[in-house]
Order: sequence, then C-alpha cells, then structure tokens
Amino acid sequence: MSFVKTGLALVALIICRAAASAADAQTADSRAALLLRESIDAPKTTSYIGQLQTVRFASNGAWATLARIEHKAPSLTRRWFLAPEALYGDYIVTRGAKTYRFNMKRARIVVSNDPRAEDAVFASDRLDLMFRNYRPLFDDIESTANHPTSSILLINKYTGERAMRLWIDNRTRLVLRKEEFRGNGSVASQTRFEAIRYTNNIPDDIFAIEPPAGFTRTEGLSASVPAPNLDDAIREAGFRPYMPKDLPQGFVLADGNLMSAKSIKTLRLTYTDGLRTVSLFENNKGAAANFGDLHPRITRFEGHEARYIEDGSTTLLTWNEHDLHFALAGDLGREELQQIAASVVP
Amino acid sequence: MTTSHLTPEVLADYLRGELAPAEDALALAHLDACSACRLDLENETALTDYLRRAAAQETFDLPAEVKSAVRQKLRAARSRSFPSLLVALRPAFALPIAAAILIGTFTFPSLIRTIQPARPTIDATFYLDAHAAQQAIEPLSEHNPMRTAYTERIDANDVVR
Repeated sequence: MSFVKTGLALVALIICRAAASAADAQTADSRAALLLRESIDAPKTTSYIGQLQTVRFASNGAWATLARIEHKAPSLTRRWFLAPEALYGDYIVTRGAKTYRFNMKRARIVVSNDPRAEDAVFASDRLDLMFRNYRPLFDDIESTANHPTSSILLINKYTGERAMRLWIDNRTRLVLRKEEFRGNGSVASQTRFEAIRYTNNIPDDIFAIEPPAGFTRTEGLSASVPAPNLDDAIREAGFRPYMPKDLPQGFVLADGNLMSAKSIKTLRLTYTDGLRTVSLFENNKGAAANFGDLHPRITRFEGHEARYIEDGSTTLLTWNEHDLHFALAGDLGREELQQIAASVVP
Repeated sequence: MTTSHLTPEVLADYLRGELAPAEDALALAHLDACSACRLDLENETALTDYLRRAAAQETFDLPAEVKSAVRQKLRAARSRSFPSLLVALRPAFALPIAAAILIGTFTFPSLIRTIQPARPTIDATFYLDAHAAQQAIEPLSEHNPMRTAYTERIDANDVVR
C-alpha cells in the first residue's frame, strides 16, 4: 500500500515539475514577446552615442559598414560613416519620418519621407502580424558591448526555422545586436554595437539639416508611401498586374503603390508576414532590370530564364512574361522567391 | 554581229570617244549595219551640239523642240529597260553601288541603334533600394538604427515619384 502511495506521489511530482517547467518556458517566452514590444519604443525614451557595425553576407562576398551613431530621444538620429572608405564622411540625419542623406562626395542631399516610420498603429499592426507567424523564444543572457542583454530567437511557426536573433539591453530595452538568417540557417546579415554609451548630453546642432554651400537637394524614396487605394494605383499603372497565387505561409498583401524609375512607371506590391517582406515590381514598358556590375546568376523556372542576386538577407529575382517585366525582391531565399515567381505568371 | 541596239549610254560614250577600243569597234560595226541606231546617234549628236551652243549663248530655257526631243529620248530609254539593267552592271555603276551596299551593311545597324531610342532599363539597385526603404519602416528595423545599408546606392539612383 505504501508502495502505491509512493508511486502516486512520484507521478504527481513529475507532473507538477513538468507543468512548472512548461509554465516557466511560457513565462520566459511571454517575457521575450514583452521585451520585443518594449524594444520598439525604447529609442523614444533613450538617448545614446555608439559605434555600429553591419555586415551583409551576399552570394558574391560581404558588405560591411561602420558608423558612429548619435541618437537623441525621441526622434533625432545621425549616422556618420567611418567605413568603408567610399562612404567615409557621408552621414544621415533622421528627424522623425524624414531622412536626409548627405553625400559629401557628390555634394548632394537626398530627402526621404515616410510617415509610417513614426506611425504607432502601423508598428503595432506589424508586430501583431509578426507574433501570429513567429514564436519568440527566450534564449540566454549575454553581454553585448559591455551591457547585459537578453537574447531572443524568432522562430517561424510554419517551418520551424529561426529567422532572426536579437540581443536586447536588459536595462534600456534597446536592440544592441541582431542577426538575420536565411532559410538554410546561414547568417544573412549581422548588426551590432561595438560600443554604446547612454547619455542625454547630445547637442542639437549635430542634427542640423541645412545643406552645406553648393549642395543640391533631391527627392528620395518617398515613393514607398503606399497608395491610399490599391485599385487607384493599378488603374494609374495602365495595365493589369499579375499577383502571386502562392505565398509562403503567413504572408499577406500589405499595400501597393506606383513608383517611377527614370520616368518608367513601375507598380509595386508589398507582401509581409510581419518580419520579412517581399516586394513585387511590374512594368509594361519593356524595361528589363539592368544589373550593371552586380553579376547576376541565371536560374530557370516554368520555362522562364530569370536572373537573381543575393545581397545580405535580400534576394532579387527578375524575369519577363507577357510583355511585362517582373522583379521580386524579398527577405527570402532564391528557391522561395522562385516558387512565388512561378505562381505570378499565369 | 550582235542584234541588240546600242543603248543611249553606249551611244553617248561612243560619241565622246570614251569606249574601250574593242567596244568602240563593235559599236562602229553595229552603226554601219543598223539604221535605227544611226538615227539615234544623229539625234544624240544634234542634241549634244545644240546643248553646247545653247550653253555657249547662256541660254537656260530650252526650246520646245529640244524639250520634246529630250522627252522622246527618255521614253525610248525607259522602253529599253533590259539594256538599262545591263548598264547598271557596268563597273562604273556597279562598283559604287556595291561599295554603298557594303558600307550600308556595316553602318546601317549602328545608325539604326543611334536613331532609335535605347530600350529602357531599370537599375537592379532601384529594386533593392525600394525594398530596403520598405524594410526600413518595419518595426524591427526601425527600432534598430540599421536602415543605412544602401546609402550610396540610393544616392546613385535619382528616384522620384
């Protein structure tokens, strides 16, 4: 009898321990989700000066930049490039939704404006979509740039693949390091603060946007702002666009707009799963993609010959069909983009 | 002896003494035997003489009979289309034509390319930049000051709406 009681007690203990572990894991993952949400708003309350390194791993090499960053909460940021040499001295000032890119060698300022960059509702919607498609996993406590950080993995719920890893400062909630992964698990890009110092003592004048003497000012990619009505954009494009019938799970049509590249009207449709985005460009002006010295590779699908390049976590695939020229750019691998492309053509 | 008549060009060359000795001998033999060609030669001679005299007198408006004779000559020349084709094969005509065709073969395609506007293209970097701009406003990019990777490319493309 005592043997039975002891056995039941052991089973109960095991069940309790398992339940407690599950609860702990759930708590940790909930904490990871909370940390992610808090990290979105962290720059609005925390000012800092730091040095940031970015490496994007492309199919034909790697591309690295080193920049000094001054950020004054809530919305003033300057990024001053230290490397590579081709960028040295150039800087970018962000004031809210507006971005001013100072190209010192060409004596030019490119101004971009996208109100969505400051739209809290937009950010919240995207995060909700991301949490529908990705599971945040609390991984570890590590030190990044001499600050204790929580490492969080984002796992795709449908494929089980890890898509991103972030290191979030435990105190300020700023993201101090980030890695993006390709579908095969390899690192596509890495961003990390080599050093960061939190301070409110940052003079306003370093965020000045007055152009130096002799500089010209041009409009940048403000065209990324979506059309209020997708049907209007399609009507203005003047042709019937083809849309993908097969998208990776979790992706939805986010918006669309008509862009102009050297006076060639190009319709862009944007799809996202909250973390990764895919942009489909179409034009009926016979304008093929000019890769210049980017050295594209050739691939084939559904009887089409397409060209593609991989640049960091972004892949660009181009082809033509029915007098339309297509370009598909996305944070996906070439095989995934090809599957989408194959479903675009009728 | 050939039975075909002498062409106006051969007659004109004969009259000016510009035929090769062998051709000249053949033309002379033909004229001895052919009254029609002799008459053509006489008309040609009369026309040439008249034109010379008219030019000497600085007369620019031709008399009606001369105009009529010219028209008759032209009509006669047109009616002898086959001999005219043969004339085109003469080295004096054929060589410049062949040279023109040869030059045209090489220059025409490039000329076409020059005249016709080049087929438009869109830089691949435009697509990458537009996509990067889209990424930049995504929450997990915005909180992270990493929206700078394509700086120099964006500057390289004057992208406007």
